[in-house]
Amino acid sequence: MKIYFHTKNEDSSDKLRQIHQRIFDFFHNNGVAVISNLLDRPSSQQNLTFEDINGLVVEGPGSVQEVGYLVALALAQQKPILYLLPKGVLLPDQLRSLRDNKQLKRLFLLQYYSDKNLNSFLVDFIDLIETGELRREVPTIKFTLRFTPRASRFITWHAKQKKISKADYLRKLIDEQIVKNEGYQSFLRQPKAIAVEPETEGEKS
Amino acid sequence: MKFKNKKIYLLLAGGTTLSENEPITVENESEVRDWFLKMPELNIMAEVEPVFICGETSSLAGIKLWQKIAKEIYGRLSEADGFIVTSRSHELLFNALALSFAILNLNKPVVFTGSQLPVLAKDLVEQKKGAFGGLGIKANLINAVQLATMTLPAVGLIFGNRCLRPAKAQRTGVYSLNIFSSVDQTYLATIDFGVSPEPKLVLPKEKPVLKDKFEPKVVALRYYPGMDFGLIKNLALGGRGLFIESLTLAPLPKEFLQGLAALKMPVVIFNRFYVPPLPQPELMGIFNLTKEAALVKFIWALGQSAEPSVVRSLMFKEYCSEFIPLNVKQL
Repeated sequence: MKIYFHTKNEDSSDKLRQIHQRIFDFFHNNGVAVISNLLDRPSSQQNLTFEDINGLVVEGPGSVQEVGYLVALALAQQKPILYLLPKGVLLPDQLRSLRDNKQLKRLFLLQYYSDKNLNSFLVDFIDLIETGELRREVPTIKFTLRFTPRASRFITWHAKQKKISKADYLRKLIDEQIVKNEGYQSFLRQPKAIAVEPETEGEKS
Repeated sequence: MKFKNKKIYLLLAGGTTLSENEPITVENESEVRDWFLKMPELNIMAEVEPVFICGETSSLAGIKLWQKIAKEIYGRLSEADGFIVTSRSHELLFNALALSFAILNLNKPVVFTGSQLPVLAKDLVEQKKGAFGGLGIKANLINAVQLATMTLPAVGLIFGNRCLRPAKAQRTGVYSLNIFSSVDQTYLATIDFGVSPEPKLVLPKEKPVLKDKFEPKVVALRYYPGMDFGLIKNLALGGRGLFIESLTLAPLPKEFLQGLAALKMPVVIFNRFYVPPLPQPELMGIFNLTKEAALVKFIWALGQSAEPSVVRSLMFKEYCSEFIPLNVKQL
């Protein structure tokens, strides 16, 4: 898998450079090759074009002209886009319309990131490239459940390893089960009139 | 965050097939809106306004089409940042060349592009699906919009991952990403993860001028050994100019040349590589242009004047970097 990472490469603060490095490291650790305007391309990547990549990641508002071009090209070629903006930064006007366009918004993932949630968005993006859809919807249902200390230790350890929150790890596990579980998939395909929501304990809306 | 979008006019003159999976084209003006709405990506980059010129299967072609394109562009030069013209791939080079001569001192980018998917040969698309993969107009248009927003006072032709001057273009592919190559390996821009203009072009000092007259009665043919001159004489009877392509590095027979000179009309003897000096001053030997550039330039020069000496001076003056330097490796 290859992604193109674009960011404004001038006036980067140390903090921003760390964010960029985190993004590079994340993709590298997950076996994703990164081509970027920040990196010199090795000879093996010299002949690559946009056609060869699987997705586009943009960090920061950058130059609208350049970013707009990359976003447009990615959309035209049906490649997913992860547009990362630091919290508090406004989205350029031109890109605002994408969020309202039914045709395009399934490919355009706009996220306001912080130190805590950045990795979760990157995980989601890989998921989007691999499956063609973003399975993790916005979580609105709150669950209270108890684990054994052993299970808790494992979840804490695993989440740390993957650099995602414990909640994200559990959500991802469930999402994977939703897709894999043939019985549930058949259930989903039943006509709505006979589909009954499964009962859940400890659920609070 | 407020940004002033650049204004780009998108002139539609065929070559509009969106993609293999979405074979939607523009046949008449009422279809423009729906076609354009299929590409919301374009307006991320600029304020793009479509202008209908002709439909995909329209019979409007050649000089009348060239003049219509030139007038539509010339009339909007002051209000636009750039132009894109779509064309059917088989006539795109001629349309782009004609515009290169029809507006002199061009101060805005005019980018020609189109879809490679033929409208009429749908069965061919089916057969060549693999090779045609992704050769609809969308990606070409996005690259063209990006280029049209740049400071590039020239006519360009964009296909696949490069943009070149029409006067340097030669069709070298049918089913490939890049169907045009530059005869002297010079490009206006290359594309990988962005559009990188190659040379820094200087804005012309003079104002743009519309010179959109072309001579429709030009006879063009290719010489073969032993060709009967009587045949050419008959063909040239109703014409105002004769364009004859000679064999490579071979002079035309002496009697043949004398016959051509006696026609009393401007005659171009063309070969891409070399035309030996001609003893007859009435004849023009042209060899440092592509064939298409030489022919369109001749049709244009005859449109400017019927006077042979004026036609000659126009033919030997450079207008759009059409002369190929002799000391470069040529395609």
